[in-house]
Amino acid sequence: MVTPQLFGLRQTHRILFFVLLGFGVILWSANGLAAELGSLVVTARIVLASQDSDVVDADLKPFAKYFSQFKFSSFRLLNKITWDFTSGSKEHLKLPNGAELRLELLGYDPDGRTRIRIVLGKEKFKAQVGLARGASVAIGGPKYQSGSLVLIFERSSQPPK
Amino acid sequence: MNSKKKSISDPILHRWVDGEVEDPHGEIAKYVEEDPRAQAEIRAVRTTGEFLRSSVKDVAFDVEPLQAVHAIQERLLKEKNRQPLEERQSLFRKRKTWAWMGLVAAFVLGILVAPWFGSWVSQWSSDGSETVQPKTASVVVETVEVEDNRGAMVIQPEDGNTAVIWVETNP
Repeated sequence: MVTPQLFGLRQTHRILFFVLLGFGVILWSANGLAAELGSLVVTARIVLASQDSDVVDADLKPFAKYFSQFKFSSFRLLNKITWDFTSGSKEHLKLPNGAELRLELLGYDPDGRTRIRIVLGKEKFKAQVGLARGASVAIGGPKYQSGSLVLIFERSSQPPK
Repeated sequence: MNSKKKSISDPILHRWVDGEVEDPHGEIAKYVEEDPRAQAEIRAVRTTGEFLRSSVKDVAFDVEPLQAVHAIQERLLKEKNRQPLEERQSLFRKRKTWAWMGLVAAFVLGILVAPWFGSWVSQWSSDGSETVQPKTASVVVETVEVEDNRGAMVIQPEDGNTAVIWVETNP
């Protein structure tokens, strides 16, 4: 029988070496996996879309093109919040029109998308969406002041640290 | 002259008879040869010794070797049984060690492979069903529920990262 020789170590040390190596790899893998699965950062933008002006806030310019068919000329950022779902699976926010917004983390798809549920209490609206890293979903419609509220939820494109 | 003769005690004579006392100059032997009392003592000791030996001869010859043989047999049996047991224990320890290492390796491999395996299983098991989504879509609107008979429109550009859900509001 061929005894594996590893750097001339004794059997006890070889076993210890393999155990430590395995433990390190497990920790590294588990840490990466946990970070990948357990961390979700979502930025919520509360926007007032209207035809009052032609002003589009700089932060909203990348999203404005998706609302071209609604004939809005102005997009003003009312609020911007970043939620980190590492510590919990639910977040709440009171919208300017008095409606309660609830965001729930449902889970993760094997292809890397995060499934979240968005609930608007006053509007009696529920949606379930899957977001890949850097993707976003915009929900519009609720009337507010002279325009409509648009809620943009964007999943962070940065990998978890 | 005889009264000045050196006397040797009985215990020394007894030990001399048993060969426990050395007599390099033959002093004791000479003393015994010249002293009738010492000769009588020697005779008594030898007679007693022979009597005792003959008395315990049967028992001594039967029991002592038997016990010795039994003890030797037991030791041999223990030795015989112990060697394979130790070999088995050693082999078991080696196997156990390799089994643990294998388990650790399998666990590590499992962790590394699990995401790809899960993705592959998901693809394979949902083949042809409506839940299959194009892998290029970074956002997927799975369900939309609106109450009060209002409608909702979902705009999901294929090339974009943003989906839009527009909810009709009550007049």
